[in-house]
Amino acid sequence: MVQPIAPSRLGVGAELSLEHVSISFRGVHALRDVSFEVRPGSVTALIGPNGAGKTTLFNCISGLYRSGGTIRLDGRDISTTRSAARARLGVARTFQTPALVAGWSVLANVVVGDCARGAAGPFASFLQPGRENRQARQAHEQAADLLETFGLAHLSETPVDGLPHAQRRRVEIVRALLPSPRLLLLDEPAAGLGNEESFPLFDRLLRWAEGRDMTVLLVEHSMDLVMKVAGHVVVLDAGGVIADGAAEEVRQDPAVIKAYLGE
Amino acid sequence: MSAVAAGVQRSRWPVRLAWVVGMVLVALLAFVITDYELFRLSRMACIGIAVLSLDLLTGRAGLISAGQGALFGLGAYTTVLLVYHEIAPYPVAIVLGSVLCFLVGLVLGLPALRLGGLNLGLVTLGAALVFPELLKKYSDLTGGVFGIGISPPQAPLDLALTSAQWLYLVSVAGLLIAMAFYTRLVNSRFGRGLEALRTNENMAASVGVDLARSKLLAFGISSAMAGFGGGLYLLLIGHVTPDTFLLTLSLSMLFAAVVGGLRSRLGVLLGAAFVVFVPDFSAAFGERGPQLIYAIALLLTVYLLPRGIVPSLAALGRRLLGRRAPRTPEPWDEIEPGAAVAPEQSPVVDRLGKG
Repeated sequence: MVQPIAPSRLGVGAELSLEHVSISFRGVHALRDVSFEVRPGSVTALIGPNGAGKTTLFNCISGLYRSGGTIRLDGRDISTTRSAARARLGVARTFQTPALVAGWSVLANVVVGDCARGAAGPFASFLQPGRENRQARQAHEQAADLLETFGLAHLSETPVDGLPHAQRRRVEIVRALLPSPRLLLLDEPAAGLGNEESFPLFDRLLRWAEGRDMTVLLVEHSMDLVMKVAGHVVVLDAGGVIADGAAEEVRQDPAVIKAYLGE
Repeated sequence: MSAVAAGVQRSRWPVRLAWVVGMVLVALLAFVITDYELFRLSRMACIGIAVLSLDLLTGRAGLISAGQGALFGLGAYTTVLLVYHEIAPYPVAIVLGSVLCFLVGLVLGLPALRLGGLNLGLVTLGAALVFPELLKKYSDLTGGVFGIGISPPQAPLDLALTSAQWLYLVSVAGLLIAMAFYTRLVNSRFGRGLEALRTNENMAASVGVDLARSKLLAFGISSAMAGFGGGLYLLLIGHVTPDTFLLTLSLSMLFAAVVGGLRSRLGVLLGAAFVVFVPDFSAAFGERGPQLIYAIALLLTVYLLPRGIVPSLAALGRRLLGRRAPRTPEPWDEIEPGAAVAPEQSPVVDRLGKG
């Protein structure tokens, strides 16, 4: 069997801990009493059947939904922190369907990730033009480097509109990486990609992240990919955690097999 | 890897140069055409500032306002009152008017935190309807239906310019300042954040754009710009009445922004030109001529040039010139020639397999 990536490969990223996280929509419990921990510097996968609440949980962690329970980032309670402020604390994410600004170039779509580096006042570029220009230049240079790393450099001036799905996804991942997040949430990064695309993508991602302080939590359906990259797996079913442990153990857990195969 | 960033900046230079040359030519017009034509062009510049402010709000941030004419009027009335009562000279009065509009804009923006689209349009429409009524109600201050006026400012004595020439140059300078401000703002981090939130609020929030703060500030700044245009407009016309700032003014501004093309500065100018010049040559169609022409132009634009005149024609031009976005093959193997992409040979798998 292939071994999962050793957690020590990543630097010490953020520690995420969820305590009794719950949310319901019109009486339907989308998440109930979800508690687990994501160790700093680990790659953790969140898996489960469709409708299990994986993306809902991502929305709670990134602050798009306000949930019950407690969400801690490095021990600090961020349950009531607004989404933008969480981004500034180092939480970055991607979306199931890549969310890009139509009409913008690949480069511009990546540079917008720089907003997470601090609140940008509308008058900053008038009052402190030097500082703003410097920051913009820096963001552009970092974006160009990242695009190079992810094989998108030749597209940096291309509008994102006509790009194939796989490239849009990569652009979104690069945007999330730009502010050097401490917690990276990837929502189905391999959806619509074959192994021949998703494996090299993760190879680049994890090689880039090596030595950087980053924790990765990913929602993924491709078990091939999960088993390759994740050291730790949390399984959600019908809004609750049914398994939580090392990848190999979880794979053989009878409850997980039952949830997946519906027996 | 600053080559990419530098490349972007370099390619903007011809455009900037064209703008500067164009504006110099526009300034030189002051000495060529009649005072009446200059007056009309000055009006176009002032209304252009207001349309630009609306473009910032609607085109960039995606927030609709059907009340921009009221803020334009508020800027004009504040300026006229401050000058009339000799509280402040013209330039200071215009700035103070803009500041007041900024604050009012923040308040008008509050509904935008909860409402979007049509509902927000209705709230701002209310502002446009109420503004002239308020002016009539508080007639002690505003002069009621008869309005209030001041003598037109003259050119400084050492400049041998007629009043119309001077006001034309001032209006064009005001438009230039507004354009420069707009350009700098939309290219700033704040401006990019606004566009991100227009496209997808969840995405914007997740990259660190504070939605509430950005929307309120967009309203405030847009209102201040409209007020600035209104202040300049007052200098031009000298006398304002509530009827100067009816709902139709707000609607024509919205019309101008949409027909000219959102997110296009050239489109803003075209839209403003429409607002100023259409009533003149449509008089032949009777009293309702301008509305008729507006309606026809709006329908034609929506059907034929859905993104507005300038952006649609630009896109058409690019297509005709064959400058389409390049089709892009999957680049993995382009970057690492020879590197096979089969999973078995992927570097991740290699490393993991050996681990």
